[in-house]
Amino acid sequence: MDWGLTLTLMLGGLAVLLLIGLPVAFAFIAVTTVGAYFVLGGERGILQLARNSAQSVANFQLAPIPLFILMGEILFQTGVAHRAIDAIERVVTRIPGRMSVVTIFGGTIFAALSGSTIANTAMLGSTLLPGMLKRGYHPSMAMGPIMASGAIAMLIPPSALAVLVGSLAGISIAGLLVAGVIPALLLALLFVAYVVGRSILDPSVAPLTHRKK
Amino acid sequence: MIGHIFDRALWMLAVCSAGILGLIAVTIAINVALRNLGLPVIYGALDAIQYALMIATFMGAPWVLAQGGHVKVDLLTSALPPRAEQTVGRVTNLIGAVTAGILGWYGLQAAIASAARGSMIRTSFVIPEWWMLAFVPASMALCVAVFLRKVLQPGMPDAPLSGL
Repeated sequence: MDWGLTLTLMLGGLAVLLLIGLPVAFAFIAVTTVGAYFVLGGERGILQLARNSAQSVANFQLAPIPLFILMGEILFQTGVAHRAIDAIERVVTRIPGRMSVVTIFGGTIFAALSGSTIANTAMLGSTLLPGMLKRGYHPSMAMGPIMASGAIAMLIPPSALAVLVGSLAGISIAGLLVAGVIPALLLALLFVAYVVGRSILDPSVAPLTHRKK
Repeated sequence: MIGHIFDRALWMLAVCSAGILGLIAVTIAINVALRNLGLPVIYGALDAIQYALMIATFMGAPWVLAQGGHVKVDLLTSALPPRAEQTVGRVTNLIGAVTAGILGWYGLQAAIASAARGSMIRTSFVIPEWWMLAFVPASMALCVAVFLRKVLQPGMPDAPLSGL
């Protein structure tokens, strides 16, 4: 099987299956099964895939992933996450683009509590987005920091993605997690600098707001 | 009636899966505490957690699927008219059923072959390999049933998400 067909199968097939709404896990299984049939020698390849599917999940290195999600869920359900955001909102005052800055700081702190990028984005989106839009923030200034916080959550430990990458690439997960901290903090600072800079240059994108007493 | 029993069975498997994940969390915490206190750690905890992770994953998958909780992209399907969305949903679920069916079938072959060879897993515990391999066909068989039910009853809404 030449590389062109493999690439078409992996990218094209997967994209189509994902777009028609097949759950991601089954889309990957479908593409991998077809790939195993053609690349690994017909039925033997699929047999090998079935054996490996059990063995690959039975991996201690993957244990942090469900536990990170469990931790994020506990923090979310108990309201601790919302309180953390509230605390940041009290601290960050009198700064151009205040709510966007609160979103970035909140995202950075919640990233240190939850291991899931999606959880981070969902929590910030449900908590802060309606308020920002209501206060007249430009959609890019309201949604941008929320989505950008996903990139920060991906880097700051605990990070489920770092665990997955580490286990697949066979590199130190602890090292990978620690290595993400400084780039993530740098990213957060750069995002804040951009928000403040843009808000100063064009105040209409982020109207000045103060916290309600 | 059969549908209700099936749902109940899936729910019980999900509860077992959640219980296993809870046990993993507690075991790791105890192990870390014991190690830091200089005491002997729980024998075989690492291997047990590995197997437990696999078992929890395959036990919980059919229930998550039945709830519509598996991560999926609804960018295109949500923009379609209701009738087209239903047709695409049927096709998607059929593809899912075939996929799960193939993996389940070959998983069963792998488990039978392993049992016939008498393959053993030798870690902290010595157990027949097919014990672990059997979870794949069992889980995939349930997933096939869930997918086929969605094909036959396309109007079933996904369970509302609670939490993250």
